[in-house]
Amino acid sequence: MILPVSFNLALGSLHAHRTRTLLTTLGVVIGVFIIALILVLSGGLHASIAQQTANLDDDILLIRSAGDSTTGMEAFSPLRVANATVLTERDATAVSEITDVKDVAPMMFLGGTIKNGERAYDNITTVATNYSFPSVLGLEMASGSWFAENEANRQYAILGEKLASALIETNRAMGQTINIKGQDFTVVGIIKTTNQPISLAGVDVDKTAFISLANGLKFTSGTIAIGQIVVRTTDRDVLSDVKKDVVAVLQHNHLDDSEFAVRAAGEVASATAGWLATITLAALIFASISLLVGGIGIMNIMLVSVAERVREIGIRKAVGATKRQILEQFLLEAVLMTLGGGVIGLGLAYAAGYLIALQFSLPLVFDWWIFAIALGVPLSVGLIFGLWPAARAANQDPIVALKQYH
Amino acid sequence: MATTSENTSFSLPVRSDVGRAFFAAPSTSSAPVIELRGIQKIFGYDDTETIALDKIDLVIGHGEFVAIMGQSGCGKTTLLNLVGLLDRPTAGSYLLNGRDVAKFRASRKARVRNREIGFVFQNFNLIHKLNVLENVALPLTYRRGLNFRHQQRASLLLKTFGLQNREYYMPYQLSGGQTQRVAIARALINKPSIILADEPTGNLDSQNAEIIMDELTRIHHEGNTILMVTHNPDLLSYASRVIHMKDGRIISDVELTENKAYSTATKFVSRRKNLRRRRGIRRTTKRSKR
Repeated sequence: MILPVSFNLALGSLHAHRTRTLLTTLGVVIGVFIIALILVLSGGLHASIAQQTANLDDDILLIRSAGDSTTGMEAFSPLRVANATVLTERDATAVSEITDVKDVAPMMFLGGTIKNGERAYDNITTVATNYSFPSVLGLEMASGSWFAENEANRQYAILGEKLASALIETNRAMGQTINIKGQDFTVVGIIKTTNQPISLAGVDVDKTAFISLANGLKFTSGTIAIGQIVVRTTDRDVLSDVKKDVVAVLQHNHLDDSEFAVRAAGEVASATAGWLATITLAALIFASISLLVGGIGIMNIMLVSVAERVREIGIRKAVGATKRQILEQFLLEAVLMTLGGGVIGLGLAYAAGYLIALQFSLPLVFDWWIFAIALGVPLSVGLIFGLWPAARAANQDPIVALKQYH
Repeated sequence: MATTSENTSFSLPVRSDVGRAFFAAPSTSSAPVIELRGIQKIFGYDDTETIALDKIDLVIGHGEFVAIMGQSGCGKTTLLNLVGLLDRPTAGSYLLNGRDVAKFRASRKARVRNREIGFVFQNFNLIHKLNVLENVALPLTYRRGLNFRHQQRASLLLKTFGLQNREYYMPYQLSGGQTQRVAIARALINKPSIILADEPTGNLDSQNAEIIMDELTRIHHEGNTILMVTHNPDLLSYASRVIHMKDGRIISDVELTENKAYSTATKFVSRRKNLRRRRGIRRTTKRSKR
């Protein structure tokens, strides 16, 4: 049994140079940590989207401003939601008059600071919308209610449950006055936690404040800038007909038909998944570069190790070690380092992933392929970057090697 | 620390008993272990060409203790490397136990080194991060078998060297003499056909040198074949055959009939006692100085 022997030898040698081993492994740890974290998080997001698609009502259409692009699909990237827009309240009203349209909720996205006395949160999304919003999105209220059609001019605000609990204690939030971008609003309703960071609303409802469109206009000095219009139809079967009508109405309102994009909710979900896959791939490529650097570090240290141990190699060869056995020993050393780094990196990634998932209410996924990649990649890094130093060790001439002094 | 080990090593009857259990009795058959015919070794090319070995013919039979003498650069170490399969001759044939090893591949040569040859070096060449037991078992680790069995075997062998209580010492904790004895034990662990010793006492003081030579004499008595390179004429009396080399050639090859190698066991023991007495005296003087 030569392998267990090489295993012991390799472990012993790594143990003898603990600091060096640790520092060298660190490169791989970081690389694997990033890769595994990306995989864990994107897996979580993916699961979240899948969950959203699963309980999605098939009777929803989304209208977004397409901006300069002509293909339209880019409009549905979550990054684009708050961009400049050409959609107006007139479009929303026109769409609501189409047959088979049940409800229409125009959404205006506003950023800014929300304050409650001393507590202030920057960059909280505030959405200005109408009274139909909860029924279109299928939201449930934890307490209070949404503002009614005739209450649009009152300074009412509805908060997502997480935002409410951050800003005020949830059970005391009702009736409290909060300050959104310098204006006071009374909290009249709290939305029950949805735990859907990615939703058709384009925002995380749990962490968003909602006000009426009329109030929203006060922040934009009267300029209407609807980021998105959510349309609920009466039935899923009429969806494609309604879509055609919506496009016709919007084309009538806008001279350029490339200014807006209309998509069924299901299409948007798959678009988001595609976008996610692209981002994941890009991130993985960058993470791979860090792993490459780690691999070069391993190779460097292994070369040093071989140079330091030339005499040991000579002794081993003299007592009958074959080239292959020497190669095996040094290769195993490199692989143990990278694989150890992989295990540590994976562990750290799950620790970090757990915290992040907790923060963003994402599911934590434990898929076999994440483990396979997070351990398989460092394994191959060890094999690839350990091969040359190990081959150098194996090719030592024992006569020359034995003459070396420490 | 050193005192206890030296003392235990003098319990000669026990040691030779174990030794006999370990090694086969000296064979009387004269089948040659080593057979070199017209061996030539040339280093470099053209102008820088150096003839290290010039048509060497040498036959070493089983149970011989051959000492090779000669000045530095006469080719004796090159010869040892060739016999030990660490190097290959430019020309000539080499039969080890009747097989032509010139045609062997590197991996086969490694296996032959592992099973049939034991090396003892001038600078001991133990692996520093392995303990005594692991160092002795090192050649076995390149074979099949369980690690603890290998170490068991190494432990038994170390007993015959009186080093059983040094098993878990690291090489740097040993004296020069002890280190070389561990190295000899390592050379013996495979029950090799031949032990190749390159200046085994070169790095030792005269007392330790004597201990090592006694140890080599003992294993020679137990039937092992030894080829030793040295330039110390004092050591020749231990050998059964002395070869002188000069400029890559053998200039004399003498069989010794009256020497320490063939001395009686009683003489062997008395020499050890003598040695112990001398050392005892030295120690007391050291202490009195303090």
